[in-house]
Amino acid sequence: MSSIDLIVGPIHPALHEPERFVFKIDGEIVVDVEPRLGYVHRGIEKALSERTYIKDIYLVERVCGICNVAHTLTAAQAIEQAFGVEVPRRSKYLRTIVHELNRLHSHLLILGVVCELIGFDTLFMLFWRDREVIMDLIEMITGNRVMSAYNIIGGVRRNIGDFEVTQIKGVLSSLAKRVKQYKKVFMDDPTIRARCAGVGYLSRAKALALGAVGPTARGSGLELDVRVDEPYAAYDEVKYCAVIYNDGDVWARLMVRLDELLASMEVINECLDKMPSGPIRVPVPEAAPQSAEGVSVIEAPRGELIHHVYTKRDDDKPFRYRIRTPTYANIPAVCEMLKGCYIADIPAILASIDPCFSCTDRAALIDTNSGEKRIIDILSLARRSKK
Amino acid sequence: MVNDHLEVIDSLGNELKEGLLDVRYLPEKRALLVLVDKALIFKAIEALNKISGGEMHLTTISGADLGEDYIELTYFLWLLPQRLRVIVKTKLSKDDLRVQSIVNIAPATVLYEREVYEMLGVIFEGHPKLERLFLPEDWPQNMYPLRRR
Amino acid sequence: MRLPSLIREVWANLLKKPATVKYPFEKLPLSKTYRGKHELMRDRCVGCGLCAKICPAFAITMRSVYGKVSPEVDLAKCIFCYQCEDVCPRGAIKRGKEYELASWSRNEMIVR
Repeated sequence: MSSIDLIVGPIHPALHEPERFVFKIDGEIVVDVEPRLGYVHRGIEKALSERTYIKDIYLVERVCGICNVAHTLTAAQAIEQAFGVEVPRRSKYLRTIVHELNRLHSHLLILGVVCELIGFDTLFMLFWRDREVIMDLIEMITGNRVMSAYNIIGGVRRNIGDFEVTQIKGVLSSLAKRVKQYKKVFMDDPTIRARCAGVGYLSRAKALALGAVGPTARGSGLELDVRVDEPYAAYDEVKYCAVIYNDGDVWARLMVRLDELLASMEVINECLDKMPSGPIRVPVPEAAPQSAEGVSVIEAPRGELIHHVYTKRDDDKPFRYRIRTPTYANIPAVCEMLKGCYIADIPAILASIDPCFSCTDRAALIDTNSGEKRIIDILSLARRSKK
Repeated sequence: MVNDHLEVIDSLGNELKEGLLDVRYLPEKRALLVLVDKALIFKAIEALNKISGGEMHLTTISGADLGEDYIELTYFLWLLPQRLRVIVKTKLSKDDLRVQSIVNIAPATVLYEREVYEMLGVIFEGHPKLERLFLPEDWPQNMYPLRRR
Repeated sequence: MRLPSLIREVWANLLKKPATVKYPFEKLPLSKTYRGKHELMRDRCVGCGLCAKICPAFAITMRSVYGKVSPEVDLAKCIFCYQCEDVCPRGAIKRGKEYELASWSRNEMIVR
C-alpha cells in the first residue's frame, strides 16, 4: 500500500508558528507523522548562561510570550532555591494571582483559536472579547498587557491595593457567568460536538507512556497537576482540585481548559481574600552565594514546566540552564493522536494541545555573513547591531 | 504518603545493590535524589518503573557539561502512586559518552535523548532514531553547542 | 431541532455597542502602572551608569553631552521592563505614558 507525503508547514495558516509536519497519508487518513522542530530555535539556553541572573529573568520571559508569567515564576523559584532565599508570603500570593490571570488569558486564547479552526467564528470573537478584560487586569497590576515583567528573584515588583482587589473581583464575577454559558455551549452545541468529540483520541496509558503534560494529560484521565502534586507559591494554602476528563479526545481537552478557567477564578478570589500583608520582595545577592542546583516545576497554562539551573559560587551567571517546556513534552503525544485521523481534523488536534513552538525550540547562531559557521554569543551580536 | 520515599529507597537498594552510589531525600526540593553508576541507569529507571507499578511519568532528561571531565545527566521522574519526585543522576566520562537508552521503558524520552545528543554529544545506545532535533541540517559534525572546552 | 443557546448572545450583540474602539480617534485609558516611553530627568542624573549595566536588552548607553555623562535609551531595543527605573539611585528615569512609538528613522527612537 503506497502512501503520499503531505507536508504541512513551516508556514501554515493553521499553526500560527513555524513548524513543519510531514504527514504520511493514505487517502484521507493520516498513517504516520514526522515533526521537524527547530525553526524558531534561538539559543536561549546558551544565552542564559552568558548573562547575569537579573537579565536572565527577562530573557526567560521571552521564551514564550503567552505564558511569560509561568516562565519568570519558574526561573525565579529555581534561582531562589539554588541561592537559598525564602520569599515573603505576600509575594507568593501575588505571584499566584498573576500566574492564574495569565492562565485565564492563555486558556481563553486557545479556546478561541480552536473555535476558529473548527469554523465557529462567533464563539472565537466572544472568547477573544472576554480575554480583553483579563488583559486589562494584567495591565493594571503589572503595567503591560502581555509582557508582565512582574516576578523577580526575591519576590515581585509591584504591590496591589484595595482598588485593584475590588476591580479584579468585579471582573471575575461577571466573567465567571460568561464562562459558564460557554461551557453549556461546548456541552451541547452540535457543531462543536461533531468536530471535537471522538477526534484525536489519546488513551490514558499512551498519555502516560508518551509523557503528556497539562490539559492534554488531564483530558485523557491522567491525574497530573503540579499545583496539586507539588504545590508551589501559595497553592499549598488554597483549595484546588485537578480537573480530570476521561474522554481523551479534543473535546475533553477543551473542557479541561474551560473548567480550569472557573477553578482559576476561585483560586484568585481565595488568594485575594487570604492575602497577608507584609513586604513583597527581599534583597537577593547578585552573585550566587553557593554552588548549587535549583529545580523548579510548575503548572504553566500548557502543562508542566521545568527549569533546572546550576549555579557557581561567586559567579553572577548561571553555569547551566535547562528549560523543558510543556509543548515539547506533548509533541510525541500529539503525533500519536494524529495517527488515524482525517486530514481535515489535523488543525483541531494540533490546536487542542495548545501548541507553542517558540517554547519548544529554544539556542545556536550561525554567522551567515562571513560564510563560516561558528557560534557567536548574544553580546557580540548586540554589539554588531549597534554598528 | 509521608514516608513513601523510605519504601522507594528500600526497594531501590534491593534492586540495584552496590550500583546505587547514593540515595537521599531532599526536603527543600521535596524530591528523592538517586545517584547511580552509568552502567546501571537503565536498571535504575526500570526498578523505579516497577516500584510505581508502571505509573511513572518521565518529566525530562537534562544534560549538563559542568566544565569537568564528565557530563552529568539528570532524569526527572514523577511516580504517580507514591506522588514522589525522583531525580536520578549519573555521570558520563567525556572519553566514553555512551549510555543505554531508556526508550523501551519510557517512550516519552525519544525527543529528550535526541536533544541531549545534539547539544552535548551523548550517544544513547538503542535509540531508534538518534538524529538532530533542533539544529539545522548543515550544522558541522562533532560540534556540540552546549559543551565547554 | 432546538435553538442553539448562542443565538440569544448573537442577538444581544446586535443591539450592544461594539466591544472595540475606533483606535486613532478614540483611545483606551491606560493603567496607572503603564510602562511606556521613558522620561529621563537629566538634572537628577549623576551619571553612575547602573541603568546601562543592568539593562537586559543592552538598550541603554552612557553618552557624554557637554561634559555630563547621562543615559541614552534606544527604544528600538528596549523591552520596557523598567529594571533601569528600579536600580536608579536618584529616580532620574520615569515611566512615561506614551505608547505610539513608531518612527521613520532610528535616530528618532533614541531618548536622550
